[in-house]
Amino acid sequence: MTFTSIKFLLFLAIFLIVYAATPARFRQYTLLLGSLVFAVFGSWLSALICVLFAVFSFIFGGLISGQRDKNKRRLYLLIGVAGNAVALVCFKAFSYLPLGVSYYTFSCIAYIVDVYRRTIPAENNPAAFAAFVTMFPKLQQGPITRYEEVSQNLMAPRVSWRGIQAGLESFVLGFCLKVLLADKLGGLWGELEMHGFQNLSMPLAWLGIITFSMQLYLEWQSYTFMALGIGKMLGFNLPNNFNYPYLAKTIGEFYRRWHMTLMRWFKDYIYIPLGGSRKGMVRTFLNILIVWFITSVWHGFGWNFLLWGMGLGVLIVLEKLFLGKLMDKLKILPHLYVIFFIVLSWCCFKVTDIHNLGVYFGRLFPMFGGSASRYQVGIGQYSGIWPYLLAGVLFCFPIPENIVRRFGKTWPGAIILSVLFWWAVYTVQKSGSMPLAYAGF
Amino acid sequence: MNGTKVRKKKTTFWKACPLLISLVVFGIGFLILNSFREEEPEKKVKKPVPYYMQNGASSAESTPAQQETEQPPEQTEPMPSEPSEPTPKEFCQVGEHYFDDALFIGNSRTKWFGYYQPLGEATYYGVDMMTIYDVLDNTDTVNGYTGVYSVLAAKHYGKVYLCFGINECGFSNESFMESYQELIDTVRYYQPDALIFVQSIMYTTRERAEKEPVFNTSVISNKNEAISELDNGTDIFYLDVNEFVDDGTGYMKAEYSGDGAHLYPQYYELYRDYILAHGIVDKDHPAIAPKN
Repeated sequence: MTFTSIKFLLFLAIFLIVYAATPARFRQYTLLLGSLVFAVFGSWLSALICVLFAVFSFIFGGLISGQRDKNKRRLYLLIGVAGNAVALVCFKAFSYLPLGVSYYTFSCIAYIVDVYRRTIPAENNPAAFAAFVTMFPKLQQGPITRYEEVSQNLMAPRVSWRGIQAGLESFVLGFCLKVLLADKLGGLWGELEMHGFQNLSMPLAWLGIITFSMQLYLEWQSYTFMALGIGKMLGFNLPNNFNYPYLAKTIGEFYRRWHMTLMRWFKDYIYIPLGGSRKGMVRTFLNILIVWFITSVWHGFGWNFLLWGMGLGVLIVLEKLFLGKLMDKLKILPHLYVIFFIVLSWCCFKVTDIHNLGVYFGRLFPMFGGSASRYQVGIGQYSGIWPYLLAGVLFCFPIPENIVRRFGKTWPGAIILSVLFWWAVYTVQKSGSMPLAYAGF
Repeated sequence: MNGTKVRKKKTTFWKACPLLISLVVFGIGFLILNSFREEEPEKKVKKPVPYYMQNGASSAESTPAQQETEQPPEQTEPMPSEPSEPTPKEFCQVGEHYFDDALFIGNSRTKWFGYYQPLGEATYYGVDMMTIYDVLDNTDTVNGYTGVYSVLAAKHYGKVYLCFGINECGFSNESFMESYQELIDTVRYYQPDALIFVQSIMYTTRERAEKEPVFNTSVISNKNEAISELDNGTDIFYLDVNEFVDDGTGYMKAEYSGDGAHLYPQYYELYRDYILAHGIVDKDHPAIAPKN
């Protein structure tokens, strides 16, 4: 059940009414129940696996908290973290990914480590903890939330008109962005696969990968708007996941703005425990490359992901060495540098077959020997994509979001948003909505 | 005092949550409009008069009411010559000019076939995701024609090729064939002496069918069997285009497709060769007399 389905809208409307009618101190139970219903809509097995992760992490959080013996604490930490991580690796290895497993596993590991570090106390209420793990706004695709970010509100979530208004603004913005824009860009890649990469003209190959880069961002951004919006309506401030990454001036900065909660997780639970930047330049670079290696593996076991992650890791190392300082002094070039390499990196990300990846790069850079097919498809076939692409560029800047935040509270703004929302609903009803490109990780 | 408090609360909600109110109000409006839409009969698509009524006596007899009728009128108009004793015909190899008076109607497979391997002066009306259910309501503009009626009425065609089914795999055979028959009746009304070629549903690759079980070979074969029953050996012919894509197990050869459903451009050549090898020529029939 994706956020952009009619089924989900009905679920959300009913759930919100029930949730708001529940006395505040019992809302965690309503949230848990609603989240389980949401998970069951995915599959019973997904819901069961999610609950098992929650139970496992709750038990090990409690064991660590109740233990004074250092060695035993460490042993429980090891089992708790390894149990989560091994299960995730197994799911990935067998290509069976229960709904949201890649995301809530990280939240569970973070919880166990934080309890071990004594930065948070272990949760005593199993229902509250299960509600945190299964919480449906973030279940499917994050944001990867730390327990302390929601634990206080979990005890008695506060539903307010102000929260509902702010949440609806986000949700409606995200819903419209996904259905009316991201989905329109999503069809092009399928067409390129249909033609075969060897038959793409150079401009079409570039248009294809730029459009995919835009689609991926808009989908992620729109999903984040919706997740955070639902969170606000329920009385939670979930962490933001995107901060206009295409405005970055370096690759390092891009990944501080892109999927921020995943990068924060890697920083806090991998990079810093490895020594971060405190153990000299060589170790710093090695730590960066280790983090990017794990990031690659998290996305998939293919060579393409390795190429993607390690390529970015090397660029970030180069930025730490000299490139970053150089980019700081310039204005336009850094943005072009980021867009160029990020777009190429998405090509490695999207084309999972290494041979096909070579073919695609051959079409992007035919001057380096990529042979042209006699069935070349030109860019003219896809002139209809340009308005959507240009509209997408607008959403790379904060302007549209600021406009919605500012005018969504006024009647004219609310009416415009409502019309757009029901137009998007009509579109979904008529032709459905594409699944999220990032949901498979 | 109480009254003032109540009034203050109402104002707060009114001011605090305009989006919720607006969404609910528009939502009710949307639902009402939607229910009206469901009750509404099928979308009105302009149905022009056939080519043979556009000039001469017949056209003078047709009234505007006839021209805008919801359903094609009963076939009482003078029919172009029809063989009195239909004799079964056999497929034979034909040249490109055979297709100068051909019309291809279908989904994306027809669209890309026309793009990669245009045959003679053939006319193509191929639309992505078009189905047998919405083909008559379609209002897309393709190669200068807006809607299927527009292309059917434009001129005389000797052959009409139909390609449907891959987007309808999830629907029942009954409803699929009912709509197919409706399309054939419409084609027959606009092009009384044209040969109609109904193409089988081309398989998908095994990988695609495993991802989307609706494309399972048994589903497609079942539908193809129903389509093949339209073949009457005289003016409707079934073309089994799977002959050149079948990997031997009822799926498209994996190397033929990138997305599992459409051929790579170079393999449209095979499609072309197949169509060229399956012409129907009858020297006694003016519409399909050999041309080269």
